[in-house]
Amino acid sequence: MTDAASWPARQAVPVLRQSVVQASALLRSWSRDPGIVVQSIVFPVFLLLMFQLVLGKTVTSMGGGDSIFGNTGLVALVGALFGTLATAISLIHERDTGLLARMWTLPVPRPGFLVGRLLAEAVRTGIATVVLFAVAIPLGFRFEQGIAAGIGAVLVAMVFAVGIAVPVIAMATVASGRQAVQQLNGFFLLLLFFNGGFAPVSEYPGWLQPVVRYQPMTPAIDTVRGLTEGGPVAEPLAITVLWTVGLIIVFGPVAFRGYRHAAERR
Amino acid sequence: MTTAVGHAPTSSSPSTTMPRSSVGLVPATATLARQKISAAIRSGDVVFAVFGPVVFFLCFYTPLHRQFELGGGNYAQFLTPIILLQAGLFTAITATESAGQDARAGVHERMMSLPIPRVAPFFGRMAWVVVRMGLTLGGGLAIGCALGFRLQGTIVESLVFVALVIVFGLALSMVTDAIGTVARNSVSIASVLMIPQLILVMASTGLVTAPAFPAWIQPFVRNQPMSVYADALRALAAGTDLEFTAVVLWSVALLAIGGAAMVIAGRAQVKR
Repeated sequence: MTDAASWPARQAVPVLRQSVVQASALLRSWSRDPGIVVQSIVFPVFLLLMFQLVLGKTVTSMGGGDSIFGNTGLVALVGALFGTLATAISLIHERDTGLLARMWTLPVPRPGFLVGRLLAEAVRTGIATVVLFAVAIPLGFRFEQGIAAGIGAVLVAMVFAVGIAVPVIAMATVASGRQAVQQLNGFFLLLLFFNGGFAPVSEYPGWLQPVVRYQPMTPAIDTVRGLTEGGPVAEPLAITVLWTVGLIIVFGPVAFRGYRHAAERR
Repeated sequence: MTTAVGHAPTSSSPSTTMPRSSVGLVPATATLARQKISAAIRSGDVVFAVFGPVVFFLCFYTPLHRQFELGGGNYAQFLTPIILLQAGLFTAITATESAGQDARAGVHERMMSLPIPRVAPFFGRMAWVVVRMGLTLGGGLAIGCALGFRLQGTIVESLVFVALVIVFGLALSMVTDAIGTVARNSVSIASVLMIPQLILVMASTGLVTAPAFPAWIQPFVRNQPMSVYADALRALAAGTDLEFTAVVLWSVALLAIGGAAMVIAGRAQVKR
């Protein structure tokens, strides 16, 4: 009788709280993984320094604004892209060691696992973007449109990160392994160079310009540029949101099924 | 029982089995090299070796060639050497991962229990490095030539061009192979090695000429090994004269460091 009285009543965990707990656990473990820290923050910082040092003058002279704004936006997204590959590797590791299966048995709402993961990706990108902005300021980066717009620019990178993380999680869990993640590496490399932040869109061959202009990175970079240096915001922001929503609609169900499969496999 | 033991040597079985003898260096290395190559085919590393330089070439060439060619000159001719050298760096980074996988999976312990020369596994891995450099040279030269790169020097100069790229990749891979063998968490090391790779490739005279850099960093840019190699390769491709002392010194130094690293890693392996 005393046992029954001291045993707390079972009650449902709200999905939001479950997501936040999941996200903070992931962020803590990611912060201890040198591979993830390097790919999310350290590598982008060096990439920004090198792009500015080597190509900064050349790209600025091509027209289309000071290259530091385009490069900072670009590199913030690069951190999101390559960081999410590193977290996908750790997701595969969690699956192989059975951690996902253990978590799956907890009496919590299961969508929370995926929501928490995406939340963690967004926060990871937000932190990395703030670090990058701090590094970019001595190189000539300024919040010309005010601090509020600057915070908006960080949020844009976070929205982009969520959109990109969904297909990567789908890939990592459905296609059973590192191989698929490494192939994404090559694809992301193309995105890195063929966008409006690396060089003005007009520098690319004519038949390629529509691809360069509307691939997911260019609108996000343009939004970051608009919110910091100045320029149009509404249209690129709308395209960025459209990309994120579209990627979630298309790959969300695949990612959810893949995650379930990964957690239930053993 | 004593009779059984006594009979054993006279029974027919010892005469049919070969006496134990150690395997020579060449057959052992050939077998291990073949095993490495088939593993690379299975893992898809072969595809990356060929198409890696192609992708990087297009990534730099497409947005930058117009601006470069405004000042005269052929950007494909200018860019190809650094793309091949970068492919050498990637080969070295892959070597770290591969050596680390072997170290973690206990492959080295198994190898040491076999009657093969102790250096055979190392030579086997390096044989794959040379093959990979050959593949990567093929990919890089194919895309370069398609967009206007030409080896205009003599046959000898062209052969030295190819040899220099292979020596560069091989010497660096000797160092990174040793690092991967000794350090266990080679996946993290490989992602950390991407940073020196980035600095060496970008802050060199491979992508833009030295005057495009700020004055304070120019001494580094001009003299770092990637620039030295890129300048030498460019001269060999164009068939012009160049002072080759620097590149020869760098090659000898890199090979010496690689050899030393290999010996140190080999000793650490035996002690463990």
